[in-house]
Amino acid sequence: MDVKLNYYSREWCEEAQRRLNSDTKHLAAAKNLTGTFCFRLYDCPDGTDRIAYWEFEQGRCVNLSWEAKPAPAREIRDLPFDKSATRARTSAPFDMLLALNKGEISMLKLLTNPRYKIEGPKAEAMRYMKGLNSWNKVCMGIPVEE
Amino acid sequence: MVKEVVTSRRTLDSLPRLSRLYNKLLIAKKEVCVQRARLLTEYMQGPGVWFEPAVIRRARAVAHILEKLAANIYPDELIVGGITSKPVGAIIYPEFIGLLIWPELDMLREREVDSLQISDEEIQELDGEIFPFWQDKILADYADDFTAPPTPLSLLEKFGFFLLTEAGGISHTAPDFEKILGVGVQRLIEEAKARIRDMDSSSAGDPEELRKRPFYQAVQVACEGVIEFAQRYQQEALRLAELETDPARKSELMDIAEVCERVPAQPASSFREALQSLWFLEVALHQENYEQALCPGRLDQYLYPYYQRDLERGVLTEEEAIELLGCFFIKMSEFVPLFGESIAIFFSGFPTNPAISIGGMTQDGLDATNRLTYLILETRDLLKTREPNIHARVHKESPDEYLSMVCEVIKGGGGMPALVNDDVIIPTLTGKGIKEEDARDYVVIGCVELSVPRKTFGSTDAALMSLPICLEMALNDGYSPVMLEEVGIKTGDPRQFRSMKDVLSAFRRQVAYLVEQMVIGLNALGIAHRELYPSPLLSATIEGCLKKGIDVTAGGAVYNFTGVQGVGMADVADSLAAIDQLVFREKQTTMDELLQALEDDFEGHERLHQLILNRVPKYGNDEDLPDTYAREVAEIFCQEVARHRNPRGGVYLPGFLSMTNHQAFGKLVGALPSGRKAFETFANGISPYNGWDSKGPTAALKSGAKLNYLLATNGVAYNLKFNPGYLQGTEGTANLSSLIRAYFALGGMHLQVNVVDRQTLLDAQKNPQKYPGLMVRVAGYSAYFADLTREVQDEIISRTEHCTA
Repeated sequence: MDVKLNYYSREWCEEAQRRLNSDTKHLAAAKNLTGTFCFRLYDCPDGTDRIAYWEFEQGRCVNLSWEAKPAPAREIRDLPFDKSATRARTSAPFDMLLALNKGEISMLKLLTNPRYKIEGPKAEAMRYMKGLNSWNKVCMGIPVEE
Repeated sequence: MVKEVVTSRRTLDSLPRLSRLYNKLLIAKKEVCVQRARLLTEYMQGPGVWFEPAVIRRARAVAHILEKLAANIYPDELIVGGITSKPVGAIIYPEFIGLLIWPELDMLREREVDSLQISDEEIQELDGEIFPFWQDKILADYADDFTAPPTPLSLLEKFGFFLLTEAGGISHTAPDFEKILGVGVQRLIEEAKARIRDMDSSSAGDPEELRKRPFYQAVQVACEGVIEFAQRYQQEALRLAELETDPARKSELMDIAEVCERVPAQPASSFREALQSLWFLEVALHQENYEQALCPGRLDQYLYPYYQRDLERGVLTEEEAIELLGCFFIKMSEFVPLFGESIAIFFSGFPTNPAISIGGMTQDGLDATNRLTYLILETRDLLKTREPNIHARVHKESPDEYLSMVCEVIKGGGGMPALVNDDVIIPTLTGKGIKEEDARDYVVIGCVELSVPRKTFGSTDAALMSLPICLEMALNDGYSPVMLEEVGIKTGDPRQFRSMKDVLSAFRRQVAYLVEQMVIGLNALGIAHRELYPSPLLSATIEGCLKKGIDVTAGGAVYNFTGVQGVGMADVADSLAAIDQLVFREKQTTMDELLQALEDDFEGHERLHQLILNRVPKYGNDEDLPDTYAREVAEIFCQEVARHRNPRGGVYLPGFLSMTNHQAFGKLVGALPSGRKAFETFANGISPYNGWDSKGPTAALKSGAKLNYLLATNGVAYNLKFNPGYLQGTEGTANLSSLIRAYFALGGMHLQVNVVDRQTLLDAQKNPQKYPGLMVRVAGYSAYFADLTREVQDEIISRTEHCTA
């Protein structure tokens, strides 16, 4: 089924979770990916800010929570980073993350842009880069509405 | 007979000024300094600036910064001048990679790697005013336009293949400080003016000559900025003297004012003026070029005449010389690099590496050791400052007394000085076309790189490249199992490899491909430096540039090289040995089974894993199988690097040092045939894998001595760790001296020694406050243990601790 979905909509996230958990290649590649990762997307096309928590156990996404609130949503944007509960948190405008998902923006551009923020220990993150790459690859395979 | 060596006749207690300065340094918080970024931005926002010739624009920007930098003189200082406005500060280069900290500004104070203090006001200024201006003016972006997609920059961004450190700026050279101390900066201005006059009178219409005019003008402008900078220190010293109530300090401040009035504009007339002049030049040069590895070079050689003259005139004692050297060492430790967190992982411990080289041979081939050599060693013994990174040159005729003192200082801890072997390095350099007398004059740059001082722009640490990822791609037909994409080239299904020849051929082709990508990226960056941010001030200090009228970034130096490093050599060597023995010779496993084991990180393949770990000999034990592969791996990298040319008309030089890239690159490579598990660290430099050199230091060094150093023209780093108990007393010193002599006689190029026991390191990890001055050798540089990431600390703890010969 290749229905196009809105990027980072609830349906898109649920489709990503379904694909992650049924993709044996991903499960093999991401077996050291365990922990909760948070994404905050600002100024989405429908006028919302969105926040999603992805909880992984050995590559399997065992829990997904998704929420949207009218932008700018202070309760999302001002939420402190809880490093005891979250391994990493990525925050960026919707357009920027969509461009990254489509391979249209370089990592250098992102890393030197104050609107793209990654919180959490990067040294630790590098250790599960393979799992993160695999997660990203699965997500990039989901057709999105232009 | 063991010769008694007396070091540290003086203690830090007998030098209270140094003691106070050192203690202050140890407790000083590292802070981000905004002033350079602010002043550079201020100038670059001016009307018409971007229409100036690049070299003039750069010179005026540097002069603007130098004319406005804070002139802070701190209590007790004899050598003055701050690279930053903070007691210990990190300088920002927004035109290079400074913007990498932009998204991290509000995390800098608490980040786990290299945390730095910064005020809310400074964050606001960077976020709201400075960084937005530079968003579309970054050097790497400009360079990217010179390359075809997928560009080397896109490989760089993956972090696992290579780092192009030249994106961060250039330095990594040893300017002609000797000349400038001797003639003064004013003479450089006059020389530039004279060149313009000559041009105007002889060949005014020649387009090549016309191009030189802005360069000479730029040299004048930048040098005038340097003089202005020193004069402001003179004024500040006079101001403070006026306010000072302590007559002793008042007198010192008056002396400081007198020194700053003369140097660096005029020739230095004393040891103190020479050191002050040198330090002002370092400060000024770092306003133009980044804070890495701008090296004073052979300090004991070119400062010796000043020292000797002062001694003869009765105006300087040995103790005063040590005090001045100590003040200079402390100034060199007052600045730290500012990396984005992703980059800081590759360079843990705040290294800046202004290296000095002592001892060795003269240009005539005689022993160069002098009294100042010993005083520098003594100063190091007293002060365990992070910088300068000291290297002791050793040759067959080096006096025993010198080597013994070097060993004594090493035993004092901190991994300095490192040792380099003249008898190997000089032929290595002449092999690259360097004249014999220049080669004899070589210095170590940064960590371990080799260069002829005064006349070379060698950009000696332009990039670092992972070798194990090349093997991993060779064993996956170009595919990277961690990146999950085909990054390398197709080199065939490894299951069809019939011999080691096939494995090596695939590995070589992957290395060649990655080296080529790295070189393309570096050459693009080199062009960008030349076109966007040339270096007129650095050019004024490198022989050849003024004569040719060409900036150092455009090939003005006499010698032009670019140095790049291979990382993880031992991991590849041990892996090849395992494949050779178990797959092809003994047929204990198949390539198919081995590849599956690697994919599974040896889980479910314990028998094979144990076979690899216990049956296959490892590099670092004087075993021919892995040692032969180590030599071959190093040769492959060296040959592939050496075939390339840089944009300055020079060639690429290969070397093997890793900073902490062996840790970071290791996180992006899966399990290896060596038995190393996925994402673990690689071996550092050319050292054996941690804990696998189990047959003692002699065997470890014999393995290292088998490499072909004639090809490793950019230098190597070999780490050895000893339990202090083994080196106790004069006998321990003699043992270490003998080991070094023997290793160098066998052909070893470099050695650095940590003398520290595991218990101390474990306790320091647990209770860092108990060990503020505990310093260790990392990989080509030393760092305070507490400044290192937990993982690098663990790696150093896990290194083999030799207890016997």
